[in-house]
Amino acid sequence: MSIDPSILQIFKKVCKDKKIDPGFEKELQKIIENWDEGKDIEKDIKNLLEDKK
Amino acid sequence: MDVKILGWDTKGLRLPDWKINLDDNGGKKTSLIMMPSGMGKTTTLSLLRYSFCDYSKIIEKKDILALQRPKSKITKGEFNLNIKINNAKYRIKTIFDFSNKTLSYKTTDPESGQKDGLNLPEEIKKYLDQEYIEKTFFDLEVVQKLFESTSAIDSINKLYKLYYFNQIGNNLDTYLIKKQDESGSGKIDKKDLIELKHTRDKLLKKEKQLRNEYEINNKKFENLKINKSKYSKIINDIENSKKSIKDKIDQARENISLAKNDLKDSFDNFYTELKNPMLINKDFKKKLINFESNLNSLKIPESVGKAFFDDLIKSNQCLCGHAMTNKMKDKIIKNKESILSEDTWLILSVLKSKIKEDSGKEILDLSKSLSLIAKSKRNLNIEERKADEIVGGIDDKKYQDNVKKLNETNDQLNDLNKFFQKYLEAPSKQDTLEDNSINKIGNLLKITMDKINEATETGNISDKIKLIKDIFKDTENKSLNFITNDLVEKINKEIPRVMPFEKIFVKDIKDKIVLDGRDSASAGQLARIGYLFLITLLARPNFNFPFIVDSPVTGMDEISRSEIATTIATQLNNQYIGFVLPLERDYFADVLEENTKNKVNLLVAFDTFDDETKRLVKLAKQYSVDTREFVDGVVSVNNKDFFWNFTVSKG
Repeated sequence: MSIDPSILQIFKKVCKDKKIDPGFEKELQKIIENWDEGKDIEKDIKNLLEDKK
Repeated sequence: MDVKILGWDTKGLRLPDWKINLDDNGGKKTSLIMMPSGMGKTTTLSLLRYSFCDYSKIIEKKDILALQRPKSKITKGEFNLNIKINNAKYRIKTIFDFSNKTLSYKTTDPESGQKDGLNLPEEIKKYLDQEYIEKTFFDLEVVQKLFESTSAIDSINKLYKLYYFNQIGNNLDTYLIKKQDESGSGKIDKKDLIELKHTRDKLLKKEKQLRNEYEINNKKFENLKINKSKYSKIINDIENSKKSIKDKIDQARENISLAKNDLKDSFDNFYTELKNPMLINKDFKKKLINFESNLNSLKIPESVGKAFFDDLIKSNQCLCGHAMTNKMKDKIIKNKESILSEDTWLILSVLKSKIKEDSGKEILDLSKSLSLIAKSKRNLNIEERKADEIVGGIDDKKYQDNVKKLNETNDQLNDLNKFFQKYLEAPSKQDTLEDNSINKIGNLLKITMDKINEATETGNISDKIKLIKDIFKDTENKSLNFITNDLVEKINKEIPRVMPFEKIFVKDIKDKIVLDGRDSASAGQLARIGYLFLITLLARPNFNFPFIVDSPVTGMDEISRSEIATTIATQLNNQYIGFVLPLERDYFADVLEENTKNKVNLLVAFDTFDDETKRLVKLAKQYSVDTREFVDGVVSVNNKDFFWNFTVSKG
């Protein structure tokens, strides 16, 4: 993970302030991390957007 | 991720066919390569830039031809760069085809050997676009831009990967469009849905085109602004050097300024008169006075009248003493409706007093005010023409060229300003696809997307995307705020050290670096702050990439040089390569050596293309430098005596 840790902390704080579901936040963070590592994120996006929760 | 340049060699280019080796074994992260002026510093910097991101599609033909050796029949040249990425060695070959004016790559990596193309690990490719490379491999012009354009904030966005949020947002949009296209027509007619999707695609294309144009125009704008200040400075310098002309120009400009003030005053005066219609027409004045007197005979205000009539209806007799009958009561109830409302009464009261106040004044003669405007405008034209004649009469080609360039630049800036105005226009009901406002197109796209989402039942996905984008936007803004505050704090902490005599602090980083309490500073002072900014910025992300600077301390005083050297030695964790002129050596190379405990590679390189360089070869031989290693150039690595005694001048 090479995105600056301070930005991730801010991301977590924003999610908390907006009362985002922890599961949703976790999946979203995974997308950011995978994008950072140059991985394909289409499958992660599908899981996140089509989750009926 | 750690990237380190180990060295390079060139073949068939305008540089000598030589090899530059930056000793990697001694743990030296700092290298100074001294070259006389015009012997390839800037060319090498360009070649290094071409090696790290794919320029094959963006390089201009003239830039390829600029690398060809003059009067040479060689049709192909190459630049081979040896680097280490996380301890794995890579070799990047950049091939220049001068016949076809093309550039291509071959990469050798430890796993798959040599392959066509520029094949760097994916993780570092994401950082290495043209913009990033030009920030980290820079000259003093880049530093200057940090104070003049959006370059400072762009650098932060790039280095902290804040642009990721936008990129992921685009991926989400692409996913939504894919889902919309896969879904059936659902609630609306199939033909209508196809039409909507067609509009959506056109709008997306237009949005992309507008954003690209904005990017290009923004860069153009920033460059034009820099050119404008450059031309203005030359013009000013020439004017100041010719005192008599300067006095005349100053006088002409003063006259223009006075004429402009006169014109403004006459417009203001005319406008004040126009605001009082009663005094500009005799008949109108009469009518208004009549209107005011009629108002006096009109009804009393509601607050007073309503209570009065309510009491009257309840009483047994009228004011006149007549007994109050039901018929009289009905009549009063009906007539009290015509009492004026409180609001109307208030407005009429203001009008009444204004009419009364102005009724005694004389009618104004507007034609006089109009003549005054025409006269002021004529005077302004005369003064502007006089100034043009003085400027046009200066017999100085350089001056005239720069005046012409300045005028052209101003015209181009005006055109770009019009584009930006249109680009930011707010949406309205009449917007079409032909509009060139990003807000209008964005709004049309939103309306179209909402309709498609409803028809294809993708509203749920769209809502989630909106929420994610909202989270991203908030994170991006807060991160930017946090990073800039942190940077400002760190830079200001170092200011007393790099500017011991005149401390100039940074106030903020809003697009560009904003100084505290002043608009600008000397080139040396700006460079010191710019270096601090870039070094602080580069030291933060977990991406250790070389920092390469062309002429790092040119034109700077001794304090600026030594403080920049101290900053590089003590604050920068990245590899540093400086291409220096012999003139830049003192108070820079020695301070670097002192602060790094001599862990600096000291190189000297010069070509031997013409006879003028024979003296340099002789000098190199005196210091035991191998002058036969390369056919048309000499490279000395870590020969300290030669480095410190190398001189270009014949004396």
